[in-house]
Amino acid sequence: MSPSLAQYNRRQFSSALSYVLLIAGALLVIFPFIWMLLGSFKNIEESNRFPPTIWPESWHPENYAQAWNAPPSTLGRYLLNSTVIAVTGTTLQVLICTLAGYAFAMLRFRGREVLFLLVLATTMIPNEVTLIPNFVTIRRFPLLGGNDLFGAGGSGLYDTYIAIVLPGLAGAFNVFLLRQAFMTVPHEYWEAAQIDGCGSFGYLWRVMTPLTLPTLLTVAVFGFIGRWNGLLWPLIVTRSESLRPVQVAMTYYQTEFLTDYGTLMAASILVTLPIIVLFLLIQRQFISGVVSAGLKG
Amino acid sequence: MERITRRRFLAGAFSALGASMLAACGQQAAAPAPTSAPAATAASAPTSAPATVSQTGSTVKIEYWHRIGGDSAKLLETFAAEFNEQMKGQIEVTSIAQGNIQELNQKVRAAAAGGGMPGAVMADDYDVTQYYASNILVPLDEYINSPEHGLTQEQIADILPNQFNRHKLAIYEGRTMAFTQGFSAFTTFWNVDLLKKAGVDAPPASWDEFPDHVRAVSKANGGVPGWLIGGAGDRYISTLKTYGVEWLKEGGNESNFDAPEALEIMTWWRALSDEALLAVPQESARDAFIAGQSIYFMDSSGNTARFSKDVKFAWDARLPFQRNTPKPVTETYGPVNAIPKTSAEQQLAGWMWIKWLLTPAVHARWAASTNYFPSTRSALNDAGLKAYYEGNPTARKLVDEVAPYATILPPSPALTEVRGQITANVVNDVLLGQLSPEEGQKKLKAEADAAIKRALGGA
Repeated sequence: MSPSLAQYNRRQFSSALSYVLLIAGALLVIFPFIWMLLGSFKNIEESNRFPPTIWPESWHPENYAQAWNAPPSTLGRYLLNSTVIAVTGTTLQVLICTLAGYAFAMLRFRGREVLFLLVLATTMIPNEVTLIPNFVTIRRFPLLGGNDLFGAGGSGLYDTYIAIVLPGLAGAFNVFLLRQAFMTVPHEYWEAAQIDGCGSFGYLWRVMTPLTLPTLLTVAVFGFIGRWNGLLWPLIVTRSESLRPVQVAMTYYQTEFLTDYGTLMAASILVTLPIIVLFLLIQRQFISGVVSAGLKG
Repeated sequence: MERITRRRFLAGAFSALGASMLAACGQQAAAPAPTSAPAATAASAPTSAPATVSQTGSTVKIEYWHRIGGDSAKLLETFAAEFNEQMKGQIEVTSIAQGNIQELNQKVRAAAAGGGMPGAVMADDYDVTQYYASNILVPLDEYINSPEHGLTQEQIADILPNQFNRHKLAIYEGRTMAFTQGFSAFTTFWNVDLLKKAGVDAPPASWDEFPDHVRAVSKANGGVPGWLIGGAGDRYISTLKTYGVEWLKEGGNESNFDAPEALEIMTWWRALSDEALLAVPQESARDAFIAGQSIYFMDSSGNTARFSKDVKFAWDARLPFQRNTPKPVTETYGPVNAIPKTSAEQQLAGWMWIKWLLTPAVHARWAASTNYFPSTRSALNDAGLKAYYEGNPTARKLVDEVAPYATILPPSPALTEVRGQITANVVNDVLLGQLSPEEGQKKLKAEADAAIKRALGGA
């Protein structure tokens, strides 16, 4: 066998091995989704059976109708709420964190480093610790929801979309992420922009944003997913079903002793679908952002 | 680059700080002064006729927070609608699902700090102890005994004594801090087919005979495990109770894990574990039992709902085995209702609601929907509940054989940690051979006592 043929065979074998490993990895990742999809067509008896079946013995597409109609005011209302919460929350979060990140990266002011360290230090406070103080802040928000100037007399922002969205808009980790991204842009761009008559906002919008788009999209996707999957905080600051997000609706499918996994899986498919679509739409930028930011799952 | 001047920066920063402080440091908004006495204003029949609850003439609106999902959550909404119709112009209840046990607990704690407590709240037994320690509940005795709004002697007699007194405890200074709404209990389930194959007609009479019994049945069935345990800490403490030993000593300052029975249980558990006859599986012990992969399963009586649908072999259930107990005992599970401190009107409305939930026809529908034991005897006469038990006869049997003997574990603010973490870890270590039973008992005693001391405010 000539050396070139041997090299060719080695490359082929290496390539085939890579594909086998990648396919195995992909199957491993995709299996829970396939399981969820197949499970969504099983009836309550089959979905609770042990050992479980993989392929449904009989198909029950009506699980989707049941999943849609099971929660009060149908799953549609909760999906709409989650969309409102995730879209507005993520938009505001990206806006606020971009401005903060830009300020820490580009503006010079006394105490900048100390302030930035203080912002970073907030990442070390567990969410559980801030839960009750945040709730108190929401309930006693002055001059809203019947409250007076001192936050007494009413319910503040309790049971509003704002209450769900407000905490976390200025997430320290996202500020850090964006600051790092802005700092990678060469300073010469700013000098050139100044010569062209660009101010800070113009530079941020016209130059920085396009150059750091992958990082911005990463922040947006993580923010969107976090809000889409949020359960405890929305539960705590709402009472009206008309405001509650889709993860709250998911709790209606579970009972203490007997869960209809078929319906639960159907609901999970409906709830997961928007996230999958979002990811497919921006996967290239998202992966680029994750790689450039040095993140991993 | 355009510079932000120090003045502009400081002005912005102080504005933001001021707004935050204004929001955070407001006065206590919606935490009304705690009240205890019912605001009884007019005579009415205790259960059916609308009572005068409002002192101003307007409808008293309250929320009822619970942790129930599925159809039973919808049933609670139906109940609220029916109650509101009966109490039109007096009380209006909104039933709100608040997630699971932990999420509901978080919500109650947040509301206790920030205001907006509900008129009534569902709680698990050990939540009640924590809420009592936080001083956010009202005692129910004055409501129960109120001539206008309380319970008649007939109604009190209708409630199972172990449920009526479930939260009338010494640690509450003898007061009643929560009201029953159905319950379940620690129950023994077994695979009748596996026993028959071993030529055994019935389970053993007591724990003493249990190890040899499972050895024999397992041997006749190819080595199938005797008992797969779901939740080592929970089951160990439940088993200790059926040995006639509560996990906590009188006074509540020290655990009982130095009792000889605690070592005895650990010793035979370890012996069976070494023989692969007892284990805490990674996967669901319940699913393993349903699949015929263990002889026994010991857990909530509520499991009959699933077993009656899913189990393909002959199975049965009974009171857990006992040892040295003067009368049978088992552990109560399931939620209770409590009334948080709000206003006198709201508290009374809350009481009227949780009392109404125990009226026979309503309570029977609740028991049929949740598979909880009914807390009242009269509910058993309901045609709907009778029909339900025809489809789940084991559940009906357990109403007679298990329900009367169920009591809660001695409550303590440390119980969640002692049971869910300390006991679970130590028992697992013993079963895996990392500790001897003697070492396990000593470690369990030391760590549990330290946790109790911490929870009671000690070092």
